Amino acid sequence: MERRTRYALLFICIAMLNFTASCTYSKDAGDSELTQTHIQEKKIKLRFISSWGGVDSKADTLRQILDEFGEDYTEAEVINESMFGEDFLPKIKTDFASGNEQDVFGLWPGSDIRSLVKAGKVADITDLLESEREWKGSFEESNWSYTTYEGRTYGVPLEIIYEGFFVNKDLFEKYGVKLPETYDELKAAVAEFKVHDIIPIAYNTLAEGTYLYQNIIAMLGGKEAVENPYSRGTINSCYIEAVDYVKELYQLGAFPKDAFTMTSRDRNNLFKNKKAAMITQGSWFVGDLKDMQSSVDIIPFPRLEKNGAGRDVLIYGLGNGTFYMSRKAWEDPAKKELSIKLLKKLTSQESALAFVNQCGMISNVKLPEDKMNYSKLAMKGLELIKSSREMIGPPDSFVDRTVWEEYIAKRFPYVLEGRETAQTLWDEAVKRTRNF
Amino acid sequence: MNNRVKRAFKVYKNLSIKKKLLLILNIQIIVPLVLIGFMSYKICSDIIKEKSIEYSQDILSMIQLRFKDYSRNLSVISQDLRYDKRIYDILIRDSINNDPIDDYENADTVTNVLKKVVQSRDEIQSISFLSFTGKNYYFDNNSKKSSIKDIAPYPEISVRAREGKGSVVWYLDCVGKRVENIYLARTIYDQDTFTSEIGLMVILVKKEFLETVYHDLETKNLQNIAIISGNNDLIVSKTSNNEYLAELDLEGKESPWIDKNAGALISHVQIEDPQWKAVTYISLKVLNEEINLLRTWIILVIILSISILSILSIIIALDFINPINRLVKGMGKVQEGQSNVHVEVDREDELGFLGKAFNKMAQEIHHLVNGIYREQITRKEAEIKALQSQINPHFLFNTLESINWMAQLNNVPEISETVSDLSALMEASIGRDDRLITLEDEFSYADKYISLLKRRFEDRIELVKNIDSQVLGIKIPRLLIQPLIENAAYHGVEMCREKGIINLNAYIEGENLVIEVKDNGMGIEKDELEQLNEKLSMDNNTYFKTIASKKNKSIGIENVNRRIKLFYGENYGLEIVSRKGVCTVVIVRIPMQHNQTREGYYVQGANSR
Repeated sequence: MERRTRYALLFICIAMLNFTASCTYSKDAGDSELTQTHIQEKKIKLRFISSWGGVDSKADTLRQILDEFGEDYTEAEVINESMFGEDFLPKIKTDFASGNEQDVFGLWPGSDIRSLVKAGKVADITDLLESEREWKGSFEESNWSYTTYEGRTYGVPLEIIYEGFFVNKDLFEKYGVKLPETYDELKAAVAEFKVHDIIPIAYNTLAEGTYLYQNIIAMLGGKEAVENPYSRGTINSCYIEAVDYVKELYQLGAFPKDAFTMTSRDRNNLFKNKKAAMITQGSWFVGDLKDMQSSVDIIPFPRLEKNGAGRDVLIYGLGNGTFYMSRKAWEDPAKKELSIKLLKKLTSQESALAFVNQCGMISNVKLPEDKMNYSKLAMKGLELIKSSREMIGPPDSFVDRTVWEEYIAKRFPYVLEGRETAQTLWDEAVKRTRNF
Repeated sequence: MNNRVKRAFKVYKNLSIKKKLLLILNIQIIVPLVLIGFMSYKICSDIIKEKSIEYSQDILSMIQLRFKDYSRNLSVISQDLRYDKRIYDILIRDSINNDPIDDYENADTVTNVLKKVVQSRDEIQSISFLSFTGKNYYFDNNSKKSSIKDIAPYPEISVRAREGKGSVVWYLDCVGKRVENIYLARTIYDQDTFTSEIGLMVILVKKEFLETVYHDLETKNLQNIAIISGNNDLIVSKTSNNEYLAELDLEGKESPWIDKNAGALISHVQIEDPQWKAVTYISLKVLNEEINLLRTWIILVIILSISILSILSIIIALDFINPINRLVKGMGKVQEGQSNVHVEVDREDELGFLGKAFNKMAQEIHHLVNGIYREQITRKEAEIKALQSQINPHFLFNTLESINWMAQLNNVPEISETVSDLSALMEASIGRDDRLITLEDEFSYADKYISLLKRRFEDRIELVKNIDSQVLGIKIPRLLIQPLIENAAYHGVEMCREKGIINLNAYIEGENLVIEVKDNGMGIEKDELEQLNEKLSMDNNTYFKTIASKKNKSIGIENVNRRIKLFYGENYGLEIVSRKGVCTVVIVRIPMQHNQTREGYYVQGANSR
């Protein structure tokens, strides 16, 4: 009995020591856990870029959709490199040129995407779309042509854009100015607003500012002349003649004093803050005017004297919400599937609905009518599209876009100030353009 | 005090061994366990606390270093911009009536420079150059919706920047106690006059970047890191205790310290440039979480250990105490007068030895009380009887001797023989020599007795001996057979008119010696015989109880029977067989072999008279 008890006692002592030791051990483990908290899981990083960054009206919705994607696919981390305004194009072009391409990106149709496709930088998704009939079928059939080059499809078109003529209706009413239907009425309105110290047209000489110029080009040239800007190595005349209209408006004082140095944000703010009466802007501007639905209107661009294309012309096309996948991502087994999923997420019905309902985007994805909640202004834009007899692609997408942004837009002050003629501007521009 | 100790010691001394053992064992268990538990809790909690504090201090030092780096980087950037000849030229040539194209070109130039910096430096949100004519050249990182042009309080910044005399100053734009925007500003002076201002450089710092300075350093425990300005304005923080941190008075406080009201451990470190403070705020609750967990574990372990060890100690104590208690109980019984006490012994250790020794001792006492003491009493009774009937044996003896002499002188040999026989018989019954005697001697007494009776009854009495010669040397206590012969003579001859024949048989039966005394007297009634035999077969205890209450009649046979039982044990004694009108046989059955020590006691006992 005694011996047995002694052994039992010894055993229990050892057991207790072990127990205590294990307790202390687990404490140690807890400590090491503490130090490990900042060692993060390795996630697959997907880089994404579009022009829907910064102050863009779609930036918030985009962020929200990318966040959702991150939650759905925890193995992925989406790095959103989207940039607003003039910073976007140089950034994406530099990245693609330096082998630093983003995995998924949004880019409007035009010379740049054509060059990228030609350079083999963009993934060919024709077969993918063929194998995913349901996905492919969710888009408007007619717009696939915008992303198809030599029979192969590269991009998924989500966003339809137009360039509209926005007016602060309340200012017109307040000062008894007639909404301009013709160029003369526009000039009259300019004079009227100047009297009341209202900037007639919110304009600057950056790329977005040139929408005024682009509209005049479309009015003057019509679809054929605009979409094929070069004939025999020179620019079509509508491109040159349109400059004179802008110059005339400049001389009339239709633009802000600091139009040459003004940022796009400030230009938009002039209109939004009712300091300017009119602005030519893209359809995405509707998203910025959520609380101005009744004080703003979108009207057809005033008819010019030499109205070659007839009255109902609209600059129309796919916007930056046309998504592509880089060839690099397509060929990276770690990224391919996730990139495709991101592409699908961005162009899904839910995402399209979010953009439609939150930003007034015009969707290329077929959506059920009952779920769409277009704002008054967005509806106005849709009506404009329906009533337009001729849809013309944005002139800047037919001329080399970089030349447009980096040269034409930037030289505009010199032309407006009379230091340079429209002809010399375009001569130089044509020289700089390599992608005829 | 001394008295108290003494009293306590006395109380302890008077405790039962059971209580003592349990008390000691429990003290031995509880005191070290509680001490070890308390010490390990204390040490561990100190270590955890120390580590947390150390860790938070380390992190703060790291933050301090990073901020130094961060601040230096911003200074370098601003200095680089300051060195930019293009910007300087534009600022110095700035005039109110400027050509729009010049403005455009200037803006383009400055913006391009700024763009490069803003886009390549994560810590910068916007940069703005304000010329003395009020022209604002700026560039915003377009991740934010507001522009530096609209949000920067230029007049205040400019006043503040002047204090720096051209070097970098920090300007914090606060809403309440919370810093909304952080600016780095410097006045730009004419490089020829050194005094006339030509512009103001304002850099809007990205607040999110400030967080990245420490955000990878955060841990589960250390999530509340805040940067506080010299005026206690909250620059960045991730804590919900913003108000609390903003109102913290860090003056003269040595880091780290515990704010008991807020229940938090607060560490802070002074960042040199800008004069900000990095504060970490660890809730004591969070800090103590681990300590509390540790404490719970230690308490659990101690309780578990105490329970297990207590059960063990109780088992061990009972193992010791139970045999002791049994011994104590046994001793109590002995003390009360019970002599036949036996305690259960189930072990071979010292306690087992004690138990066995006690059992042996009790047995001895039992034997002494019953065997010796009672036997002596019985003998005394017999002697008293003898004394009652023989007034003075010595006197009688001497008288008988005188008669013998007289008979010889007068030549009457019958008288002489009779007196000699009587004298020999008396000597035997009074006998000084108490040693066991051989059966031969005992039988010779019987012969003498019969010879005496023959004087009286002449031929009416006859003793027929049939004795196995082997038995003659066996020693037995004195006067064991003679009283039986006397009894046979009385019942067989005196009460009868016929010739009385007394048969004395002695033989060996197995291990026993059997002696039969048979008379041919009137015999005993069946009932009486049963009663007699029943009485004879009584064990000593019952017998002595009954004789205490009843007056005893047949002393002779009873006396012999009791002496046999006391001397040889309960299994031996007398048996009477009788047939009414025919005969009565008294059978003595005693063992052949007998323990010699018994003889010793017997002899001693007899001698101690």
